Amino acid sequence: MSNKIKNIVTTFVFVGIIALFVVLCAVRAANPVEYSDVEKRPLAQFPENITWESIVDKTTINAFDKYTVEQFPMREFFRTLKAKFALNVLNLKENNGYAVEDGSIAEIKPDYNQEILDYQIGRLEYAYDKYLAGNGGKHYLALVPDKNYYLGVDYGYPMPDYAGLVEQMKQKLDGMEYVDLFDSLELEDYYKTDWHWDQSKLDDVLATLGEAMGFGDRLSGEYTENVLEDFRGGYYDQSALYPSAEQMIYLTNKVLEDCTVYDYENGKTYGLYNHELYTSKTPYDFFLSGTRALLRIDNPNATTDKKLVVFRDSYGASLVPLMAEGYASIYVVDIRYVHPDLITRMIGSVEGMDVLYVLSTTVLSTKSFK
Amino acid sequence: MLFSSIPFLYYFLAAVLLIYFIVPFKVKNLVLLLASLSFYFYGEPVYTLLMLATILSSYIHGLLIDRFRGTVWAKVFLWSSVITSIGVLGFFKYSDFFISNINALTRGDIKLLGLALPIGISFYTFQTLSYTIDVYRGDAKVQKNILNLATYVALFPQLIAGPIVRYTTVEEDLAERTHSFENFGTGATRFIIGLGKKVLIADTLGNLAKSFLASDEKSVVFYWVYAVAISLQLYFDFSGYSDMAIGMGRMFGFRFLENFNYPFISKSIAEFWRRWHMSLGTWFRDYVYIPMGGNRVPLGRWFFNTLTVWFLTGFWHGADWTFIVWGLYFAAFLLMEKFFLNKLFSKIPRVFSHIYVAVVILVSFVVFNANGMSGAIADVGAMFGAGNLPLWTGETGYYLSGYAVVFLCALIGATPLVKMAVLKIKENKIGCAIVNVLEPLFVVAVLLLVTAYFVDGSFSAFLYFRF
Repeated sequence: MSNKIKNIVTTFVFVGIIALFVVLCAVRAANPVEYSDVEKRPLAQFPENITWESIVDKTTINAFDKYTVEQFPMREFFRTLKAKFALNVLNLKENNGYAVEDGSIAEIKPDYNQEILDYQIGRLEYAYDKYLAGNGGKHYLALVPDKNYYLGVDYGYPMPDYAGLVEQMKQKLDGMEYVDLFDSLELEDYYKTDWHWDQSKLDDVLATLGEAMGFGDRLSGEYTENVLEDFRGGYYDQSALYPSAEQMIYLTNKVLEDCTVYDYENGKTYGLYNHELYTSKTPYDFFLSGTRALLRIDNPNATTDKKLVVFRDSYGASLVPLMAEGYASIYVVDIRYVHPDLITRMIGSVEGMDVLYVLSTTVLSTKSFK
Repeated sequence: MLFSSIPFLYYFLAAVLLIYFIVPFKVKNLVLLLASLSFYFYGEPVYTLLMLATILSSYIHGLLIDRFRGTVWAKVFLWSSVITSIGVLGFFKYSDFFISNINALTRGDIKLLGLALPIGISFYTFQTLSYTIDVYRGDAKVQKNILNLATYVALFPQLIAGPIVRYTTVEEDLAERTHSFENFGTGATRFIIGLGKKVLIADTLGNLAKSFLASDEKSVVFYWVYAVAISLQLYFDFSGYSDMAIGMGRMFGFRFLENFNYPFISKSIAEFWRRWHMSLGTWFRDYVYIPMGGNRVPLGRWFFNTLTVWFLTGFWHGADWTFIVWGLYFAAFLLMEKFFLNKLFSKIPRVFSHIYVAVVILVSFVVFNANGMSGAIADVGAMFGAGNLPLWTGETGYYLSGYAVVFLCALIGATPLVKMAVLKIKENKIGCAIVNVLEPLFVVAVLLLVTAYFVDGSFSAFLYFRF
């Protein structure tokens, strides 16, 4: 190809690509996307109420800038192109805070937010001091490390000062017995496309908790593994990497199948696993029907009359069902969605019950408590 | 509006190209002027009037200087032009600097003006100054068509971050220029190269610099990694912007002069400044240094001239003592080179000259990027082990390995190796054909990649916008 032809081709290629996206932008302008399922937020729309003042103070101009980027055609294709270029060609360790090791995606956070953590601890202290301390039961604190802990330990990624976080929790919640789960887990125990752990890989966690809390002997340890295909966790599209879908394995046995779950919010009763929610936008809601404020699991086949209160987040949703064999009833509280003042009012006396606070470090340092 | 943005690329530039190439030649300058004013208005609605006033001032001063040529009035109008231009620049850019220094000296409490810096004011002020000075000197013909002069001053490719295009460079192009596939094709390629340098390399290195600043696991080596990162970031950011300006100018038929010539391969600081931001260096040489007598003066006066020029060069970059120190820091090395360093380096292997330049430049950009003078002293001290920092931390290794490929690409890209390799391959007929096939593919790939970066929201403001 001669220089002359090259310049002609370059001209047409450059103008052609610009023109193509101008047309696609015009098409998108006629049919703007209102909501991004991936980012879980509304996308910017063409600015409205344009006035001379809004132009001069740049309100309209800034809104237009945002609109052009967020409504750009093939948004997910471009996000994926960027992510793959950054990670695979430039060989960067992370893209937009997402890193991949051994096929597993994790969010890299060098620090946690101390202010938020203080608030979360204060909330737990309040619940403990006002309603639970001195109830005659034992109180246990177990923290679930974020996946990035294992990327930090195994691959050298920056991670928050987890030792410091644990120490703060232990000091401020000193009425609780701390159960260390950090050594009971490894990166493979989490889903590759999600931040949650995999229920079928919690045997070490169960053993550690069972031994500390004394329910281990009451677990059969025999489960049937049930497979749900096409599990795509939160990192699947957030990372823009769209890796292969994986399997979600959940565990059942006769005792677990007979357990019932009572929902204090709506008065309904259902099973430990909710198949309808597996096809929802957050398939992890399959476990204990997802974000429910206050539940009671009843085990009709219990070999004990012991009852347990569990303060949990979504990690607990997949763990607590496996503990059901060890108790007659488990009250499952998601403190993010119910105020501590309402708990004892709704479930009555907690006298003599053990209490487990099993919370993830991710949730603890995220502003999600009400 | 940033060049590296969706609104610029797929809205503004697309519209301007379409209109520009369908209208007849006689209205092309008008199209460019209106486009440039719209471009500036989009970024600085209020200050568009200031730019128009600057254009009008230069136009009238040019006419008056020409009208009274040979009389004392020509000089009066030249000084009037210089004072007006410098006055406007000084008011908007340096008022708060002077007020805060007066307050510090007198323990006074004069309220700061808090004015927003008009985008590109340092660049277009220097352009208008060069015009009136060149008209006075007879190096340029006075422009009687205000439309053409306004087009020159406001021309959007170089309006907000240079290069500082002299009027004489585009004087002929304003009246008559060629539009061809050769101009457009080579211009588009150059524009895309600049866009890639800015978005893919400079902004990525900028992320590393941000990570460093946020890190609480700094080490001596991490400081040096940071120094390399910001030096390369500044180079790829600014030279990328110049590439985009030169490329777009070419697409519209203008030929701007080069602004960078692989400065990091220099063997002396003097050479570095002949290769870095060349339009600024030559501006100060031609309009400040030489009128002061240059180096054909007694030693003391030459010393003073050098310090003055580098004081002004530093001050031009920003209204802060850090920038002044940065400029004088270079002056010190230039003087030392003249007195003894050049002789010294001529006697030892060349590699030492490169090491010397690298260290001086890395330290200079750490000062340039520092948060005030105390920050600059702390940062430079830490580079040489004064901060009680460990030599190495886990985070240092993490970021160094994480950015290894980007560093490698940037280091190679900062040398003429790729250019030389391409030229070598093109010497052969088959090689030339292969390169010519690959070039449009390269344009497609980089255009799609930078679009991906824009959509992903990873673009950042050009560093040189603050000057």
